[in-house]
Amino acid sequence: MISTPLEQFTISSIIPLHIGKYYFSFTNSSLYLFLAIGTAGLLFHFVTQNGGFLVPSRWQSLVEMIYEFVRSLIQEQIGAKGRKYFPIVFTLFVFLLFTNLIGMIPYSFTATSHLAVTFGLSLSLFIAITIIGFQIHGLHFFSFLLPKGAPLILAPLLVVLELVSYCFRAISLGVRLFANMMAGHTLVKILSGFAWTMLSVGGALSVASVFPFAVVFALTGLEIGVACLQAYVFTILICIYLNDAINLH
Amino acid sequence: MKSLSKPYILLYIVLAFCVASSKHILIYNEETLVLICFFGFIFAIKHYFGDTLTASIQERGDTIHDELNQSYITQIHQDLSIRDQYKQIIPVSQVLSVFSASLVEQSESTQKLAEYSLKHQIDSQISKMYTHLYKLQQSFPQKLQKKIHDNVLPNIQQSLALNKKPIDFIKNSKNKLKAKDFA
Repeated sequence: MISTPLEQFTISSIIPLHIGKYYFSFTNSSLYLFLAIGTAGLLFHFVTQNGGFLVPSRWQSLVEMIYEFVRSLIQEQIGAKGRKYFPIVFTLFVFLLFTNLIGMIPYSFTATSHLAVTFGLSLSLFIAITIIGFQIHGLHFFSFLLPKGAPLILAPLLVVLELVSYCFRAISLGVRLFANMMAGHTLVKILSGFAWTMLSVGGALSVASVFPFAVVFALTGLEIGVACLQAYVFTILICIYLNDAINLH
Repeated sequence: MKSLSKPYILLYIVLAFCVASSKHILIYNEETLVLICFFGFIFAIKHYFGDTLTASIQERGDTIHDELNQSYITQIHQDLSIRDQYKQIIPVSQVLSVFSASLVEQSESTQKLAEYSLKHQIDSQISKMYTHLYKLQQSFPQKLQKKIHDNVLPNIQQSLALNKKPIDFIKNSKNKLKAKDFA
C-alpha cells in the first residue's frame, strides 16, 4: 500500500449527514476545528476563573501576554479607533494559532491546510472590512483607489490597478496561510517517507536515514515557528486592511 | 498508596508498546518518525529552554507582585501620615471651635447692647422733642397776647383817635399780623 504525501489532507466523514444533494457531515476537519476552539476556550476559562489571580500564575501570564500582544498590535496598526475591533482580531489570532499548533501534532489534522477554511475566513473578513469602510466614509471610500499624490493623468490606470490589488487581498490572505501549512506538512511527510524507506531497506541506508531524520527534526521546529508566524501574519494583515478602511490614506 | 518508581513506569510503557504493536493499534509508518521527531523536539526545547521560559514567565509574575507590594506599602505610609496629621489637627480644631463659640457669644451681646443704646437714644430725642413742643404749646397764648398788645392795640388806639373806621383797621392789622407770623 503506497501512501502519498497528500493523503494526510484527505477529508473523511466521521458523522455523515446528507440533506438532498448537500453534505453537512461532521468531518475530521470539523473535529479538529472544534478541538482547537475547545482547547483555547478551556484554557481561557480555567485561567480567568473567579477573575484570575492578582499575581498571575504561569498559564495566566501566558494568556495575558497573548492579550497584550494583540492589543499592542491593534494600537500600533490602527490606533484608538481600532479598539472596538479587538475582540474579532483577538479571536482570529487565537483560533489560527491553536488550529496551526494542533495540526503540528502527528496523526492529527491541520484544518488550515485546506483552502476552503482559509479562503472562507479571508473572504468573509475582507467583505466585513469593505462594509466597515463604506459605513465610515460612505462613497468617499472609493478615494482609497487613487493613492495620495498620484497625478490625475494616471488615474484611470491606477484606479483599475488599485481595484484589482484591493480585491486580490482576500485571495492572497487565504492562499498564503493555506500554502504555508500545506507545503510544510507535505515536506515533512516526504522527508519522513525518505527516512522510513531507507530505514526499512536496512544496511548502510538505514544508517544514512539519520540525515533525513535530522532534517525532519529541524523541520518540525521550523514548522512550529511557521505555525505561530502565519497566525501573526494573517492577523497583522487584517489589522492593516482595517486601518486602510478606517483611516483611508 | 505507593507512587510508582521510574523503572516500573518504563517497564509498563514498554509492555504497552509491545501489546499495541502486536494488536496493530500502533501502525508503523513514516508518521511514526514524525511522532518521534515531534516529541524529541518538545523534549529538547523543555530541556534546554524550559528553565529560561519558566523563569521569564515567573519574573513577570514577580514584577507584578513587587509592584503591588510597593503600591500597598506606599498606600499604608500615606494613610499613616494622614493619621498623624489628623492627630496634630485635632487640638487646633478644638481650640478653633471654642474660639468660634466665644465669638458668637460676644457678637450676640454686642448686638443686644447696640440695640439697647440705639433705642435709648431715640427715646431720649423723642422725649426732648415732646418737651419742646409742650413748652411751645404752653407759651403760645402768652406770646400771642403779647404780640397783640405790642402790635395791634396801639394801632387800634391810634385809629380810634383819628376817627377812622375801627373794624376795617382791625381787619388790616389782623392780616398784617398773620403775614408776619407766616413769615
